[in-house]
Amino acid sequence: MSEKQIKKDKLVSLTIRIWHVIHGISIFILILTGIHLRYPDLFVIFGTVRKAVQIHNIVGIIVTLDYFLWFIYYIVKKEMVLHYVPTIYDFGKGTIRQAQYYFYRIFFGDPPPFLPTQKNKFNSLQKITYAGIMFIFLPIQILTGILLWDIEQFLPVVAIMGGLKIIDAVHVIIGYVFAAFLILHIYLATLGHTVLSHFKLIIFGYEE
Amino acid sequence: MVLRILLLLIIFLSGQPLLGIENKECFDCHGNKDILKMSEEERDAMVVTPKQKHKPRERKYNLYIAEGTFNRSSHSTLYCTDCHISIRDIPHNKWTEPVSCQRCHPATTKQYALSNHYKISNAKCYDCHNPHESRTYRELSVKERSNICLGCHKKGGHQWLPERELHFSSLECSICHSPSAEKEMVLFISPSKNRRPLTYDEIKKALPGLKGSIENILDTHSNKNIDTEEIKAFLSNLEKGGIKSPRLAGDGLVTKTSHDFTRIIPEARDCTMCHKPFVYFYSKVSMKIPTKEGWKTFSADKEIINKLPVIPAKDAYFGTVHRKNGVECIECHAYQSVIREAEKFKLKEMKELVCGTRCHKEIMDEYKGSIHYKVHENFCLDCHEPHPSVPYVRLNTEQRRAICIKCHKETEKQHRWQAQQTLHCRYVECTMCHSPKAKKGIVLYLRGIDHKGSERQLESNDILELIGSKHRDLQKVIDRDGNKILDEHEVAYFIKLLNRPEILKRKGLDRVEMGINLSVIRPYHNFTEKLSKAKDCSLCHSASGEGLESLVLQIPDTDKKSLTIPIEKDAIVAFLAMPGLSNFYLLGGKKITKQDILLFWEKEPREALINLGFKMIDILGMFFLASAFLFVGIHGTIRILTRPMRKNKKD
Repeated sequence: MSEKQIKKDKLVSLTIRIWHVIHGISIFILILTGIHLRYPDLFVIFGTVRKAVQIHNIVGIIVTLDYFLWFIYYIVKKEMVLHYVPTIYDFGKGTIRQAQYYFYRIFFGDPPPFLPTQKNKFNSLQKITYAGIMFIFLPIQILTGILLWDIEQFLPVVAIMGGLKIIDAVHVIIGYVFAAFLILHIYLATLGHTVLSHFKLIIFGYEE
Repeated sequence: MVLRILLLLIIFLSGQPLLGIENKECFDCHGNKDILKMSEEERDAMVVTPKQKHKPRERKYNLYIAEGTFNRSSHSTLYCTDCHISIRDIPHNKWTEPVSCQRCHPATTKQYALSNHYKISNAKCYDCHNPHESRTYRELSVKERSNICLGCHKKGGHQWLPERELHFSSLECSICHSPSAEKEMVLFISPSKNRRPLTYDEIKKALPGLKGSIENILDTHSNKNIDTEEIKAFLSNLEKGGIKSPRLAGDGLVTKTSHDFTRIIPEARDCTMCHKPFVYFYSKVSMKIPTKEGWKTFSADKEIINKLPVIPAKDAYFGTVHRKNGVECIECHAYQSVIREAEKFKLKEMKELVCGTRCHKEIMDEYKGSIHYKVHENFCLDCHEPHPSVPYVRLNTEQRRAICIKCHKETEKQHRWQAQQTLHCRYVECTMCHSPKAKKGIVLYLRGIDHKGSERQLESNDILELIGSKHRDLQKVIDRDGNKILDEHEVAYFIKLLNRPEILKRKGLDRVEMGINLSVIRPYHNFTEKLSKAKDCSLCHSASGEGLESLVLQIPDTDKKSLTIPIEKDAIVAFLAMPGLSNFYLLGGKKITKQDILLFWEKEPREALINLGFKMIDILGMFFLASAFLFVGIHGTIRILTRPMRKNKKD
């Protein structure tokens, strides 16, 4: 087994790559349908509001299932804490070093302060961001999405949570957060040692 | 004077006529039909012809008087000469003086003399009443009473009257045409068909265990008064005994006549004079019960009259928009055939419906162009019930949907494509989508919720009571700045005003909140464009959508036009959610505009936030997106610019 082969298998597993592709495409479609639904008079992307709603609902269900796939996978593999729970170091020095790299050192061609390994896939900023996304924003988005999916049925829960306006506002704001995150996520993915190296990593599972 | 009275008394007690002419002597000539066959000369030979000329009578008169009929008449106790006072001897003069009824009936003749009936027709008492055959009014049937009038007023009139024959058979003319007369409703038990009183034998056959009189079975409380419960029980027993659908019927009879038929009678064509739940019209209600010997009359509860199958929905009619707008029954029902079928009125031949020809012409024109009409040939009454009709504004979504669901029963199945189906079905009426040209809006209303959680829409009277004054202008109370449009602050203040605990307690309410309906404000009856637009969600789910043109507060009024005040559209997305509306959110609805963004920069942050309300989420979202793009843009540019530097370092 070559060195390349070892790296590929250990850094990003096939399951996570499949999960990521589904998740990425789904979030992208949800953002587009969300834009259509938020501005049906400005962005008629999917033809009709009715179609946009249908697609948004179906893809929303896919993301929900996909989230549980991700969650169960890491729980079963016992790697959730390892990869996604930030440490004190991550909140302190780790973040500062990574931020310094992104905002300053990268322009001078300095080596990155962090290199992904089998036991530590994400740098401190990634860890904090992904933890926020996967443990806070996405669950809230899924929950509010489910409540909005069948308002009449979930009305008592909606009422407890402050009413439909609040639920909708939270869902829309997190939608914007995801859209902003997606932009940054794609851009930051170009910051590997080559522009495409991180993309190759998530597609093929290894990074040269 | 005393002597005169004494003399009259002696004559009366002696049973002799005042002038010594017995009735028998009169009937010797006038009781024989041969008198009619005699020539004038032969008759002249029987009387004394005075030498002086006499003006002949204007009216025809009958020389033959049937003695038997006279002896059964109410005048049978009188001598002929009591009325024909000019006859003193027999043979009498050829020309006798006209009889004056006034001598015995002064009040009636005086009343009649003042009437237009007399002034116009110059009809005398005996033109209507035959004094030689007259019976007491009480003895006359409805038909006999009506025949008095029909002697001159020939049949064929009253074309406007719905169920004309039924009215004629159960009501005498003066029930309507003599408003001052006292009237009585005489009830009887009739078989379902062939309106007539059931006889003693028929009832006995149905009640084989009948011992004693029918009245004992009917009047179970033995108080000589028949009440509703007694009637119900009796009818039920008859039905069990084999009489199919026995029912209560009644004749309207005058019990105390009034001969002033000439007053203008505004009520004469007002069906509700009789057809109303509280019957002041009839001074008495009685019931005719058959006995072995004949008929016996009992008094009956007036309540019973309400059980008569008069006009369906008559009770509901009084609160309807038709009634309030002064539409009387005959304005719709005249010239139409209304049939009675098994106690239920059914309208027949309603194709030439008055709805569209008299009052709702514009709507009918709209409707007649629709596929709904062309395909189904449905008419107004197939959808709308005219008797309990209430203004459209007072119908809630469920009631409005019920109009369509009467025929379109499988709506649930047909609308499975729709997102939030239950929600749409609950809050959106059918014509919101299926009548694209109707004027629609978000309609807010006030709802009172009691401690058990049940709610009802508040009307202006309720609200004026809650704010403590029945005389205030409600619009001024709500629209405090008088600019004829409400903002969220005015609405919130008004709701607070209505939620004062002491007043709520008095009204038995827990709280007052806003309710919301997405409603048609002005209906459009051509539903034919449904295929092109019905599934277009953006009609409503779009900020610029044509579906919801306005946001209004609507307060129905039972007596006058409902109060409708527009509300600023932004109020619906205000942070200060109007009580009860926290659960209202319209996907694709109100959101940020360029003007909002400009105002945001101009105002103080707090004020700007309050002004924007929930539209703020878009500003926040755009800030996130702008930040992301800005970072990518700046970072990417620096990366590109510093690339040679990195390349040099690498080399």
